[in-house]
Amino acid sequence: MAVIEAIQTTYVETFDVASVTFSSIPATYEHLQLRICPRADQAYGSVELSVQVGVGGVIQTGTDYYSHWMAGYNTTPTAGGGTARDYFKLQGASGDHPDRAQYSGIVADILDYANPNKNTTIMGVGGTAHGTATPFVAAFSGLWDGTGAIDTLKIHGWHLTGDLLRGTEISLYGLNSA
Amino acid sequence: MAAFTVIDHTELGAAASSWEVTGISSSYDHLYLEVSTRSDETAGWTVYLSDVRLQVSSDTGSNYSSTNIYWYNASTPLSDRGGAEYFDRMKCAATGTLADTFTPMTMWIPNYANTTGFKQIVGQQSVENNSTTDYRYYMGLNAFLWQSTAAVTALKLYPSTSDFVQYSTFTLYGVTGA
Repeated sequence: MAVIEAIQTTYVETFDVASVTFSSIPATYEHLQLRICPRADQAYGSVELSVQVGVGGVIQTGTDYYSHWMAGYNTTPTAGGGTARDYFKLQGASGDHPDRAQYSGIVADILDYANPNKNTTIMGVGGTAHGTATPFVAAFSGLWDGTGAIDTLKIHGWHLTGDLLRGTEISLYGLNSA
Repeated sequence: MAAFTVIDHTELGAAASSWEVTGISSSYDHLYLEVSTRSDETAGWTVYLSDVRLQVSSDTGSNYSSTNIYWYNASTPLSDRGGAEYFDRMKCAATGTLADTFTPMTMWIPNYANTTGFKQIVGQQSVENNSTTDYRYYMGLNAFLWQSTAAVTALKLYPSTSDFVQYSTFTLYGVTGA
């Protein structure tokens, strides 16, 4: 058994999509890791993706997600957060910038995702360095106030309403502890 | 292709003053640490943000340099640096933060076994909380320098004035590139 295993990769190939869902995630790993090469449909250089978790196959839509992030935006350090929403935020997705070839990178860890004694947290880094406008790099984290074992992850575009554009690729890995 | 090997995985069955692994083999290329923890700190402002320290190879000399960028209030991100007999400028959740919410911490120690240069460590942690009140959440990126040409053979992570709580997990991976 490999210590780190690829669970699933989704490549948005033909049409823009509202979301990508990883379901039936086994509880057998210790940790999960998302590696995302995204582009979202908002007309900004960099935008956030929205993530919801699922327990028993049911997406959790209550307003008990919390997020914090700090970032470098152009030449300015900045930071922000969001409380009591129905998703948490992954920062650093490439927006629908005029440079159509631009996709960004996000890596995020979900530690002890199946531990019944812990709320779910996510933490990672993401960013995009456009050549002409609005470069952005961020460290981010999120919290879902629930101890259910996560078996579903649903990754949306901006604020649950935007699309993930064609060419977006999202991979989910499991890390074992033995 | 990179291969991960589990060197140690510990889930605390009861509160403990530290997590420590010794006798780390030099046979890997890099080390990677994933931690999910909180402390039982009950006093002062650290009831929300507990200081965490890391000591390498049982070295108690003044051979540690720490620097970080962090954010925990309404202002823009801040940065800091310092030296001590341990790495510091890391935080984890304590008793004042939302129950069952553990702090994710990740750390890379590249080329940890080389005996010709000092060792650099990069890490990230986030104290998520259901709050945007100043000093009740935290996120940080760290760079550490251990000023020793000795191989890293042991790691000790500990809160400065309290214990890690039950269910805290510590997973140390050895990473090889071939």
